[in-house]
Amino acid sequence: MADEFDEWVRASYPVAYRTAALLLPNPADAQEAVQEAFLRIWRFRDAIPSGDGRRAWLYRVVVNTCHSRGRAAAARPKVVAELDPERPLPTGADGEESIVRATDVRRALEALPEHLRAVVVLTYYVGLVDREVGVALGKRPGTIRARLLEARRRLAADPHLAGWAPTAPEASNDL
Amino acid sequence: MISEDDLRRMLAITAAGTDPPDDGVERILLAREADVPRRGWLSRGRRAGHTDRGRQRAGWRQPRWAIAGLALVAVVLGGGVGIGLLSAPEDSASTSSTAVAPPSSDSTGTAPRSTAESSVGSSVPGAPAPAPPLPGRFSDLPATDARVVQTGQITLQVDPDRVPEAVDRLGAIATGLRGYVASSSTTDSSSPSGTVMLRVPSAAYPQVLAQARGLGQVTRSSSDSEDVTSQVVDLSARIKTLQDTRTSYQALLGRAGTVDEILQVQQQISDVQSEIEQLQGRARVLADQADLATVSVTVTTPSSPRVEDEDGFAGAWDRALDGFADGLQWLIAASGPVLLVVLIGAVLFWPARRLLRLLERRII
Repeated sequence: MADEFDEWVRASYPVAYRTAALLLPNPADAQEAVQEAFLRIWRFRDAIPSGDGRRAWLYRVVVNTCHSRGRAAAARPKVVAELDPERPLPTGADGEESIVRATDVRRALEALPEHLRAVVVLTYYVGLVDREVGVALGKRPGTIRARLLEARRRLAADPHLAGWAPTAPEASNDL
Repeated sequence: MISEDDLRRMLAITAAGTDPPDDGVERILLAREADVPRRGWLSRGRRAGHTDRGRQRAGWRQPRWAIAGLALVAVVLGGGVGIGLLSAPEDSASTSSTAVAPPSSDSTGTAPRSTAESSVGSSVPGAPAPAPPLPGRFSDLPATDARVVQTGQITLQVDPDRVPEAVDRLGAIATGLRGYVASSSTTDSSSPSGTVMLRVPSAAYPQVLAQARGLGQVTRSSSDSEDVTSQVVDLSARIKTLQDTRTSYQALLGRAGTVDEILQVQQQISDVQSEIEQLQGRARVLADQADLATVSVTVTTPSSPRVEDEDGFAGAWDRALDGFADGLQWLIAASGPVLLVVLIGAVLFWPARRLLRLLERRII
């Protein structure tokens, strides 16, 4: 049982950590949050289904621990993660270089309210489907879809991402 | 609108910019080994066999919610029943009597009271004829120093057909105690009732209550007493002063010479005289109130007729019907507070649900 758990931790850790890093501004907080999340999973492993369902539950716990940490860290000054500021994001259509940087994306994410940020990260970074995100956040899939739309709308209007050039012509149609 | 693929790319690159710490996994595994497993009560409800879909379909149908819901209903019901019991309509007489001020019946005075004038203090020589005195039969009652005005109310419950009889007997009580009936009235409807106002000597005041109890069930009695001694003494003093003034004016009249002087002095005398009479009038009223206590008795009939001493099935059946009616009344009366509590519970249900959900998230 423990071995299987350890294996699973090793496999899930990177994505889980990065998720926390996207949800929280401070990387030290992210590490502690993820650590706490895995420990909670271990403690309540009897209550959590094994197999595919575990992923959703993992992120449920991750989101919760990040939420708690975020509250605690709200008083402390934010430290944007150390990123390579020169690393640009992929180019836009027709080879244009996008001037949106990773830091801009982070700032845009931070500008989102917490409940919208979580759906964005879980859906577009972790790659969970609506149902799984619903389990993670304790909401119905319909709510998740609505939140995704709202989050995308806000991101589209975010000045940090103003320089983003759409990669495909169809992108301008889905408003 | 940013396409979903673009969002995925954005986040992937951004996330790739943060590398997980090398020792991250190890620290977790170490902590895991050191951890003593705890079983919280919240986890007991969810075993590994539960499917995600079942859990997700309606989050509030989990067993924990059933327990919480049952607890809430139990609290609501318990509160409603408790409130209903506390506010149950009174169907038995409750007697509330305040302390009856003991009339100062200790006889310390020796002078018999016969006229209103002397009852307020010293007798005055040369006084004009006093106003009609109190009933002379009080002359042999002991004089009291303290003057207390006593008033009382009694509510008496008798059988419906005995109301006029009770009224008559109350009058007899009053006259028996050397008092009188000041007023009496009866109504002769389906539930007859009567009101009697008795005046009895203050000394006999407690006996009124005692004898009234013999007529029926006293459901309420209260009494009030006001000590007017100081008022009486004050009035006496003022009357005395005025009388002295009048006397000296009268002496002055003898020495008056001219017609003018005579007329002036006579005017003064008559002014003083009218003031004396006013004060004496007030003194008489006070004396009357203090000497005679006022008791007003309301004779009522019980709201629901009680069938007494019916034996056999008829009596039992009547009692059953009564019990049913009483129970129904209680139920209807109790439904009010119960509905209120249920309403409050319903209003609180949604925030309670959210609170439990938050708790759920904290633990897990």
